[in-house]
Amino acid sequence: MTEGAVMRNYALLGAALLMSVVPLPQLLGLWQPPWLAVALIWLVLAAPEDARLTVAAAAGLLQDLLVGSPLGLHALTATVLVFLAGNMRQRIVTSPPWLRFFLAMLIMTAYLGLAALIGGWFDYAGSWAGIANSLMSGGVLILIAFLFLKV
Amino acid sequence: MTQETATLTTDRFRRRKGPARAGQCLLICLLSFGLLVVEANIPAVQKVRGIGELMLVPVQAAVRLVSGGFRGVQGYFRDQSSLMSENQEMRTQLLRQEVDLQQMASLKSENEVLRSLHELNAQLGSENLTAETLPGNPDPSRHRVTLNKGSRQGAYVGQPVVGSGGVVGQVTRDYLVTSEALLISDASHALPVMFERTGLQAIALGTGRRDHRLLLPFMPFHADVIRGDTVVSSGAGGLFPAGLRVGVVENVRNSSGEAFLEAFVSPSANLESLRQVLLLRSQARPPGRETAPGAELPGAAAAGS
Repeated sequence: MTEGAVMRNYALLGAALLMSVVPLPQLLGLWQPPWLAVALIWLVLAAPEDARLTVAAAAGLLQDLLVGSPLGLHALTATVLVFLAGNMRQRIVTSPPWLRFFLAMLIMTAYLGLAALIGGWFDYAGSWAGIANSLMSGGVLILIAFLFLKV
Repeated sequence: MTQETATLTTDRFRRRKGPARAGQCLLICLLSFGLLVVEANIPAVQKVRGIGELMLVPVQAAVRLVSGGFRGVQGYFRDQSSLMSENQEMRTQLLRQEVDLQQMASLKSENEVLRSLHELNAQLGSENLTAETLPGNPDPSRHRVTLNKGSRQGAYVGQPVVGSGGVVGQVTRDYLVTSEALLISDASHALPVMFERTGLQAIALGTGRRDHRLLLPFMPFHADVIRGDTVVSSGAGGLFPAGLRVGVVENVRNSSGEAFLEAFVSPSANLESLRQVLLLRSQARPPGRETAPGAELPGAAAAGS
């Protein structure tokens, strides 16, 4: 892994963080994908060396600051996401594309569900429709990633 | 990537897997959870968060630039005729409101509600704070706005926020130069209200829905509520001054078999695209508590009525 590739991977995470606070036009806004989750899943699959748990926690913490969610919420969920994706990595990369997609969706569901659950305890819960929407749009992104940028 | 390097990468990756990785994950999770608990229970951490927020000001500026581009593109595609018709509509609305205003002056001495509105006018004139919304509510399922005035300019937690049409929400976080306001349509917001026509008191709960409607649950089954009724703040919670316009009843639901009447209210402030708002200096606020947190939470406001 070259130095440039490492930089590129972290720039990807930064871009995902920025994208999560850029307000999309009204209609798209409800379908805002969980950018950080998509980027982290991608990172685990494409460059597992860079997808460290500490990196995920730091990115999640930054996301908490940016988004205004309780501090630690996304740090926790992003860490769990990278842990799950890292443990399932072998299975994911050796699966056929459709199974790959479903495994990625499974991980993202766990991420969003955990965020909703813990967020609910700390008085920060989105609507279920919003979670479903972001899951679907995240799925579309993952699908595109798997179709065009072969892992 | 060749086959060889690919195996190498995965091998190196696998070496770090196992109990050490699980332990690290658990440790980070516990730390994060601890942070969550600490932030929820110790208000002072909010100030630390404010410092982090301050470091993100350049990021917010960049985001504003990008979203400004978005808005520019949207505005470009809105054609001139629609703008002109909108202008015409506003002119007639202004005229109608001027007539209304004249009637109001003549009925002032008799009409209780108009008097309270008049008092409000006097109150609004004193020492309120105008603020503008900053773009970027990243979570569309929560109804919040970021305002460009913070604790340095005199914004404080629990401060009522009012727009040109009516009540908008309340400040929930005051950072140094920005603050965050929860809209009345957020699912966690409750606002004590009153019907202008009948004086019936109720609680307006936010629904978190995209059309920003409010729900007035648990009203007496035979209450006199009809479509088009105006709802104003009742001042019962002590947070919002009484008589501020909240919205208009859109539909009333009284299915037989239910014990209570429900009404949906569409807010009269344009919560969809807020630009300029007013931060009121609430009368109920004790003097000398410039930045003390927890002035009054939405739940407390509901309980007070």
